[in-house]
Amino acid sequence: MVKKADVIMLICLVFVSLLLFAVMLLIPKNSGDTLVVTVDGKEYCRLPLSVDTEIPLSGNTVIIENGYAYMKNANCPDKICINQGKINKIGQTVVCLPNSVILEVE
Amino acid sequence: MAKKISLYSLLTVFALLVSYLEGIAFSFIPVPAFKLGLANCVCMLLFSRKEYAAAITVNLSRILLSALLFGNFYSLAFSLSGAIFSSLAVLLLLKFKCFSFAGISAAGGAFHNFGQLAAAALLNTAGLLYLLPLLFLVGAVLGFITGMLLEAFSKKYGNLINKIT
Repeated sequence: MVKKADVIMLICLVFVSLLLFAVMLLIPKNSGDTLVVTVDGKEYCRLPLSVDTEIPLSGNTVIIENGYAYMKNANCPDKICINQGKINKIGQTVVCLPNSVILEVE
Repeated sequence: MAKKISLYSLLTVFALLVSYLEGIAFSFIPVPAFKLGLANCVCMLLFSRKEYAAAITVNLSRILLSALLFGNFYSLAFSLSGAIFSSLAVLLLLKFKCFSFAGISAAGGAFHNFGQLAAAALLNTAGLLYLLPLLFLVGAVLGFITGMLLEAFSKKYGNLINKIT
């Protein structure tokens, strides 16, 4: 049986997450100019977002195109990193946990 | 003692299997951590029966085995941190008598994901934090569903569980 208190709890939690969404939206984001690629916790390379290029890694392919960076290919099963889309704002990341690859815009 | 050991191992294997199958079943959804968290039912049920040692043993064994079998250091750290946060939330809410498993599990799910992200933020980069609102929401809603399932299960099979333990 679902009790009244349960529903109130769920509503509160949903409200908190909406609040968090709002906070995230309010924090201003500026476009970055550098992509930092980290592999296995170590910085692999830094590249300007202004130059179109392709970065081949052991399990992933990173693309920089028109000022955006994204993961084009990944050999991991879940493809979450590919679905994370294109990034160009400071602090945005694309993470491939299985291959421990992190892309971050600075 | 022997009975306890076999019961705990059975529960651990059950939790491990459930979480593995669940991972496969939901792998087509491109949201990280999109799982019902059915494995945590075991832990929550044991907590609610005041079997604290059993709950912690079973959950820790499951997390360690799962990381050794399917994961890596990072998944171990994420799961551990998630488990600590969700267990604290569950234990706290169990003190109030007004919640059923649904409400308790909703908070547990939300704080599980919060804990995972906290670990991620510490280990990698604060950039992952932008996932927090989504994961908090997903954790709460899926936790609620899991809790409803557990509530129905424990209503129906409560006597059976009493007999075994």
